[in-house]
Amino acid sequence: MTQYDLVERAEKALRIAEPHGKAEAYVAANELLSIRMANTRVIESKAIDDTGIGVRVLIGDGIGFSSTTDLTDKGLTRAVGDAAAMARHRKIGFSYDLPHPKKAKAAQIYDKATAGLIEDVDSVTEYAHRMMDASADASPRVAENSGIVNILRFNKVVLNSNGVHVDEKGSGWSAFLTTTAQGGAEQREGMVTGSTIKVSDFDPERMGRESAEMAVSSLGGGKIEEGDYELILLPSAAQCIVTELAECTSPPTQEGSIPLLRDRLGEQIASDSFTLRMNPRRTGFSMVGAYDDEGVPAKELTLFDRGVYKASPYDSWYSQRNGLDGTGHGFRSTSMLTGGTVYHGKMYHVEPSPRAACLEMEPGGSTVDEMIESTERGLMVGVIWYSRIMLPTRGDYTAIMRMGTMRVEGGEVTGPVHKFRLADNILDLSRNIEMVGDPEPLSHWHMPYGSIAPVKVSKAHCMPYYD
Amino acid sequence: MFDLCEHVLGSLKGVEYADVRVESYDNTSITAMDGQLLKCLRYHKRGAAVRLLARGAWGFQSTTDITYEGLMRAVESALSMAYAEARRLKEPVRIAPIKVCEAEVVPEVRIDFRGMAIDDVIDLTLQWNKAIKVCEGVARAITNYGTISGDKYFASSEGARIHFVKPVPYLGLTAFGKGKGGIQSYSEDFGGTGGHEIFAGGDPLPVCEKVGREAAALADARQAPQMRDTHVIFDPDFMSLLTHEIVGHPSEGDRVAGREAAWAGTAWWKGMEGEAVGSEYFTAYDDPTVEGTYGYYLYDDEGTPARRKVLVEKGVIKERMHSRETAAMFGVEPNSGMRANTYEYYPIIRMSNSFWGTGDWKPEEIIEDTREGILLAGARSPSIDDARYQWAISSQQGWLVKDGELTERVKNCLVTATSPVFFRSIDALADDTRMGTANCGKGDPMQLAAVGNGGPHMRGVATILGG
Repeated sequence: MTQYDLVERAEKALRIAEPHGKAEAYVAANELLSIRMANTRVIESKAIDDTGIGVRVLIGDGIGFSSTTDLTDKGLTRAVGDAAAMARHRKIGFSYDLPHPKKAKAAQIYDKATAGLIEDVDSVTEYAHRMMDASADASPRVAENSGIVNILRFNKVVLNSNGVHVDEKGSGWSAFLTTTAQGGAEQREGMVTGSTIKVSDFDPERMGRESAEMAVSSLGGGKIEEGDYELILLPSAAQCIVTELAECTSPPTQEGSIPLLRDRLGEQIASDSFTLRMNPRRTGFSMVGAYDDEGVPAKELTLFDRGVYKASPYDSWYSQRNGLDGTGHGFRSTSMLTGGTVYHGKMYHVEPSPRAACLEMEPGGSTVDEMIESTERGLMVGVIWYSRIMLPTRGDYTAIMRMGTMRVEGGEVTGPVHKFRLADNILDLSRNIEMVGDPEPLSHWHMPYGSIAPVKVSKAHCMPYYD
Repeated sequence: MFDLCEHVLGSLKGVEYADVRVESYDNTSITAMDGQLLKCLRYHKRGAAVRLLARGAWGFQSTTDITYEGLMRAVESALSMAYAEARRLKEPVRIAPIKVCEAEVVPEVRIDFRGMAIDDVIDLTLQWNKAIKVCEGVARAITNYGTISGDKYFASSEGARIHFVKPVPYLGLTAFGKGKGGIQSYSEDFGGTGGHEIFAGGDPLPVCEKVGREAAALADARQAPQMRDTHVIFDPDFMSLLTHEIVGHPSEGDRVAGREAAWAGTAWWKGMEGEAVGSEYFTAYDDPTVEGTYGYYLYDDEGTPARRKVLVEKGVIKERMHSRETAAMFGVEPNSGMRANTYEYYPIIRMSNSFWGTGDWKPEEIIEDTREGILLAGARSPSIDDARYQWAISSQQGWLVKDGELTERVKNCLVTATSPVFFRSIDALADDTRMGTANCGKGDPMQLAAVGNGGPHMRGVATILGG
């Protein structure tokens, strides 16, 4: 744990910045313990202890940012000086002000028992072994287990010259287990993920068992024929497509890499059975809390309402540039050029940017059994891998259907099939969602938290591996 | 700095091995869009990592507190992790021996960015951004400029003492063209170890203009047709991503050993060392010692002296990338594959510069020799099967080839094949190898590493999903 008083250091940074102009100080202390498993053993026991500050300085119509891990007075002076130098050159071109204080209802993102595990390596290592043991005990066909258990404890402080003062503590666990089952020369996988703030939710035996069941039940399949299928995506698989679509609503994504939804606000993008919102206040792993990373109350926001593209997430900068109200979704995400830091935690070394995160689907009322019963010629998928929008202006989308792949015929699951490739268009897939189930909480290595439902897509183009 | 490392290492008792890394980074990142600075930040970070092997198990702790007391707390924490796993261990970890070195690595820098005033760097970025808007058809111009100035001290309990200096500039250029057929983007980038000479010898203006012109022309191009099992000719920029994904990744020793099975995946050619998997035109290397490249280093993060690895030679699998631990598992010598992105992270096996061997054809001879097919230029996005067996990659653009001539520019090209079928189909290889750049994500928590990748023009058989 850091020896610094984070609030005191943030206040000091603002005092140093005062002669230059308005300023914001974002201080974060992260502690992450990770027990990584492979080949049915622990291969890496590791921990990160990382404390730093990001400073934004506003001078006239210019804004600059700098960050440092050096929280001494000298380090803060250097960071403020760098940010001020940047501000003198980075002219905004519109009237911008840092956020003003607004009160948010507290969000419960800290759990004492979870946070305490940072110092209890033995118990966390035991969780990892319990997952692997439960998987191995589930079937003699289980060949190997791999995965990770993460414990995070953090403290973030946001102060600015307008009076914003946020001091939040958080904790969380996340874990996943991938089981490899062996049947003759064939190997198939199963996977289960989990993540919440309370370690009392962590059930390593259930995760081990379910991961093994998915792997073993996938053994013995054949190849599919290329063609259009009805496709049932279980929540872990559905989240890949939902996350890609949600990311397309983010203003920087629309401007920079995937302009698929640019200027399409108000259009019917997906089927009317699809409603998706951001709910940062719902407790999850790390990007969740009462306030976003600028100290603005984080709001619930409906991105797609019965298929209509309803809203985009905004931070203060993008919202003021576009003459809109901020939505409290300024998150500090990562960049290669700032060290490529992408561990679970609060990133002090980058500026906030609007992102679609903390996704929550509206329940559709259908069960997976009903989806199966309504399917004549279809496929069901448990886990998708390497999900990508390949052609950013047209939305051509592809992914590997990696785990839990089953054939569904005449309203029944008729057996496993080999991995295959989905090659379609993300907008067509979204329009073809015909049934939505009840969402369940999920975690993912690139999406710390979500509440995602199973969906049935009426038509999706699928290809076998041609070899 | 070595004094601090030695002080810490000298206090360790009862460990089989330990190393300490103390690192500092001064980074700059600037993004300009349509003549305006979108992002402008400086980043200073400093920290240390202790990795040790005790009672047959690993422990690792990183910290931003680089006092002696801070590092000793890190040692204590790393020891507790090793002991926690040691109690459950079935097989102790073994590491293969290496030549222990003392060295100073200072790469050559011709146009040094490290002393440049921020005003000058911003002016350059804006100039390069303006140059992209070379014609009316360019609707948007984006320039990403970044530099990393790293300084790393590595010391091990075996006596290694290595000081690395790492100057890394990066320049990304993107244009969005708007034409009759809608919007299309086109990008080029530069990255390497050195100074601004990495950017086309220090004058990237002609490349900026090329990026604008290509985007504008591409927006007017017609859709690529579907082409089943056709001749595909890949240019060196496409080869950069292809080599990275389907040769580099499955050659990583940890993947081959199943240690990445949890999520990143395995390698389809596991256990096939010495077997033929492709045509005589399939030779590939991984070589960190190529000066000026993005993946340049002379010692890895275990202190192993760097050397070229022959991954595949004339279609036969020769060598994997190894750490000291996987080298011991495979019964081979360590070959310098182990790297951590920054001090926060546990080192893992990474590519350095992975590239395809060079042939003796001229690129134009390959085109002249092709009756029907497509030339794919530049790469956009990959989606690769977890065992690297089946792959799909979108290119930035394509040129239809008919009777030995390039006939028409096409857009929205997505190419797919299975690796063994494709490797066997390669029947022409040019002499124009070029090295590109990539920021590769791997590990959990994920680490983004700078790597070089490349190859010459090459011809094989694959399927185009167009239309």
